Amino acid sequence: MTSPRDMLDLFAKTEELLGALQRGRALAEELLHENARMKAVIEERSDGSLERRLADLEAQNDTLASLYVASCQLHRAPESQSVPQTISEILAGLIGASDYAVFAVDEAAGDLLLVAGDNVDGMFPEGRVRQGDDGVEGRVAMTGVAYFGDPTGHDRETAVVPLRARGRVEGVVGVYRLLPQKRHGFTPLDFELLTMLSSHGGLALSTARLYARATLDSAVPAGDL
Amino acid sequence: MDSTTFLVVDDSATIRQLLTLTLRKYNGGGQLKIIEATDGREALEKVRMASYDLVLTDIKMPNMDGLEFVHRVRTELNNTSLPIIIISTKGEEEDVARGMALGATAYLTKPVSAPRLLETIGRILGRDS
Repeated sequence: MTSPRDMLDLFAKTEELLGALQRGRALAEELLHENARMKAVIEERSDGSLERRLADLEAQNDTLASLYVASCQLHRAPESQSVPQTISEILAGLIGASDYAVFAVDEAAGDLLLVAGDNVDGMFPEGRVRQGDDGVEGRVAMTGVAYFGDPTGHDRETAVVPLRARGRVEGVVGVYRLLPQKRHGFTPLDFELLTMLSSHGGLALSTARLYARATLDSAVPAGDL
Repeated sequence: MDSTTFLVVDDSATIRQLLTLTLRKYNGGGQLKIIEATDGREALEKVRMASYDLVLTDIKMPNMDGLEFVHRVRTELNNTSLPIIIISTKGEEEDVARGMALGATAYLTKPVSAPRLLETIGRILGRDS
């Protein structure tokens, strides 16, 4: 037979159990709520935003890699022939230019001398352009301001940028047509590369010029000085 | 992790360096060997002397162009299993058809993006890039 004391103990334990159950239920509800919140976060993040962010980061990484490689190659060798060659490689291989020209300022004549290019012999039959004349290249050389064709116009594949160093224009780079696979026009990376060319290309040309002069000077026998 | 050996063939040092940087992302960046050649003739000698998992080659190069290189690997060296990807500025349909007819495994046009190149390599080598 159950004594009253046993009954009281039983009631107390039952109340304790009920309390524990209520606390457990509250905890379960809290966990369910947290689960729902986490699920919403996961669903929100799996709508492609993470993938898009990753793709953006990859694209930025590739842009930096291209700029790094292009810059390294421009300053790789001080010989004057290698700079126009490297600029050509950047224009054709990284930007996708089909018709392009690289001009260096001919200080003695005051002209722009065509030093590298592809498919532009017909455009510049004399191999040189006068600075400041009616042509885009001469104007860009004179003003130091880049020219980009109207994105909706017939010259949308044209970009003419000055190669600058120490406040002077050392040369000009012109892109007149892009490869068939680039007919949608210039990309943001192309503009970054052209901007990089404007400063690093100019500096590389200037360095090559100074190196050539120094080499020439050191080749003169002491008795001739 | 398996080691992968690539041969990069291009007369442009700029392109070789950029392709090498891109290839370093392949296979998690581990266990890679990247060998360079500056024209088809040098590349043909390297393929004759050693084993490669995949070759990336340009077309316009001095001494021996990329098309002749592909053709000679397939005929002279009788190597039909070596995957060769042509990466060229020449992007017209007939250029692609000619390259593939001579034995290229894939044909990509410059400028080639890193994801596109890695996806193509992964597909050819049957691995996740």
